[in-house]
Amino acid sequence: MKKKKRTAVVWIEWTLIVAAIAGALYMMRPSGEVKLAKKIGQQKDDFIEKYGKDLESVDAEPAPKLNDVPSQKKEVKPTINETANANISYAQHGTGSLLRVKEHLKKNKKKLPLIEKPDFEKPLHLSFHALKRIFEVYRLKAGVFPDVAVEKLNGAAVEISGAVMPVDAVPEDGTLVRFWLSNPVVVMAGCVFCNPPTMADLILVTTPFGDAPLRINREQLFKSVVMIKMKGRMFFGPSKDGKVEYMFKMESNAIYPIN
Amino acid sequence: MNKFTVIFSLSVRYLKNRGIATILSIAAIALSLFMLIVVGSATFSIARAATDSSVKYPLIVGPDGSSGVRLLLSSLLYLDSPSGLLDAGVVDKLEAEPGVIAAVPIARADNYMTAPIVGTTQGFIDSLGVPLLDWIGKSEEKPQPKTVLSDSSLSNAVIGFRTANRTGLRVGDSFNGMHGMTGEASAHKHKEMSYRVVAILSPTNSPQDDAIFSHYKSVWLIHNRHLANGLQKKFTKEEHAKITYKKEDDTAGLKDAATTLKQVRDSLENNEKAQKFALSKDKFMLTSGKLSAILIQTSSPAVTGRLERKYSSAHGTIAVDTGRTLKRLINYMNKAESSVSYFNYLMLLSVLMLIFVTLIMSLRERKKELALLRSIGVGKKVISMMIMSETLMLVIFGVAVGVVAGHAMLWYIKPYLDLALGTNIEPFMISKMEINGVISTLLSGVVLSLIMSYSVYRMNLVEEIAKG
Repeated sequence: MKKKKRTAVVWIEWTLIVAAIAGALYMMRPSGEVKLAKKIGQQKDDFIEKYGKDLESVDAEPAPKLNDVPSQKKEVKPTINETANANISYAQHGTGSLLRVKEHLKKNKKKLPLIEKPDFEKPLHLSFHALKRIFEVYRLKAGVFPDVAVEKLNGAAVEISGAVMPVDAVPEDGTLVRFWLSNPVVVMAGCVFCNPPTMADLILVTTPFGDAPLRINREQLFKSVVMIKMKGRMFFGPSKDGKVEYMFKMESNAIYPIN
Repeated sequence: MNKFTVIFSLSVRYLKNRGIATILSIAAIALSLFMLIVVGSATFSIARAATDSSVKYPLIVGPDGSSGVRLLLSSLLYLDSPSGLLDAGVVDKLEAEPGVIAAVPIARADNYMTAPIVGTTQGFIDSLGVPLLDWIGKSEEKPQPKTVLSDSSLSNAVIGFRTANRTGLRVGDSFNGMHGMTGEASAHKHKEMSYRVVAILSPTNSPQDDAIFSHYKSVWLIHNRHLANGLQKKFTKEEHAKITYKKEDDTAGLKDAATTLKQVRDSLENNEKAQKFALSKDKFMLTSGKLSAILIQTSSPAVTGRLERKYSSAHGTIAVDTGRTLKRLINYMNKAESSVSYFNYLMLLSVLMLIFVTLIMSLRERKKELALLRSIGVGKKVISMMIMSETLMLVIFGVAVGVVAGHAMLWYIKPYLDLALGTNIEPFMISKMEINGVISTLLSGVVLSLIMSYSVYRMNLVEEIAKG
């Protein structure tokens, strides 16, 4: 009986020691940032759900399919644009995503209509997918935003999640008065050749009058990724904030850390 | 007297009585925690320095063939040597790119007492965002000069805060650079031109505190003269007489140095040996028109991404997105940090196990003492609680001493660590690793104390009383 008791006690002791080691190892586990980024990428998007079709209708004509071979053999001379596209070098690939702020500001001199009173109680759930679609149309229409996007989003209260990228050096108290809210899928991708960020993957967030600056854990920001969900007022660019150029901007109303 | 006060005072007395064993146990726990504090703080500081630099300069363009990490380490953190040279004309191309705020040339080839001499422009000094601490002609009435580095005064040097402290250089002092990055005593001393300290920077809390800044054309001047001198040595006496180059002509500055170099090169036509020498040196010497890297400020990460792609596939250059490279570097560092922390946690556990064994052994020695307490009516529960509080106190003291002494030690060795890591350690920063260490030590302490108290609880002390 005594022997049995002793064996049980030894078992309990070792179980506790193993539990302590397991606990220490658990605390050092890698965080699931990649999973979280993917989850954010798939989140609900009110804008695409409600107005996605309207965006499609303003798209340019669809590109010809590969199977659409002309029945009669005609010598078709390529247009200047087609020749340019055929000869486009690898270095120039993707330059369409370039923002030439000065040129665009000249083009879009007239002010975009603005929603005067944003309803922060019922913000529109937005994702970077929607911004990408809007930016695509903007580029196809040579610098004009789709009407539906301007009507529903410019000045509206929106809720969006993303990763924090500092714009300025981070002070010791970890307070950020402006930062990039970026598409976490792009941030976590890591390969600039396959997935460079475009202006639609970045929202410049400012905390007006320093009322609600974001206070982040610096260690997490420097060594890992800080993901947040935020509510704020969306503005369309292109414009500048100091030397920083942006296409989309948000004035924060509330910020919630999610990792 | 309260029961708990009695337990507490008895535990303290017992720990005091064990003197050396108690101190050693506390020191072992404290030392293990100290290791965690140092590793956590060091990796945090490196990551912070790198992130701050990447925010300032999100893109670096370097010579084709350089690795991204090396470019980052050599151009921004000064922890590695540059891997080649690129054409200075790229600066103009970059400045003409839309979305580029500034393109700052970097020319690194020399050091002074291991402090890297960084050839750059006034723009780089301005981007550090700190005022000058001291400068030539400083007075209360006069504001600090707007320009301290220019191509009209190439001997000017601005030194970082920590460099000033370490080397003892003060405003007005002159010094000569040493070739290379390591500061070896056998390295070539550049007598071709002396630098004069014209200003000392206020602390930036970045690797720039450990550097010396000069105009990039001063690096060209020194190396033009150096190469011209080297080439001259390859000539025979007869050939020497034919060369138009005279050392005394070579005093006015960069233009003269470049002319001299050209003159010497022109005179080389029939000297195969000297030509070979010039060709071999040309690839590696920072003579006119060459740079180690270019730091670029962009208006948005989208511009950074586009330029990275463009300048990595053309122009004979490679472009590195500082933020992304840094992320990779930090990921590697995190892995290294995890491995180190695993060893540290294991060390901590071994320490706790060792303490556990010592306590168990001392418990056997204390059987009589505990039996005496039992015989005067002290309950089993109280005795086991006393043992529990002893173990807990030992662990808590160890943790407290570890945290306080750890940070104090870190503060003390900060100058050495800063120099070794090229960063600014924040000695009182509490890292995640430290928090994990403290929590796991305390948890293990609780487990240990529970085991100890249970062992005492099931100990047959009546037998011991009967034995007398």
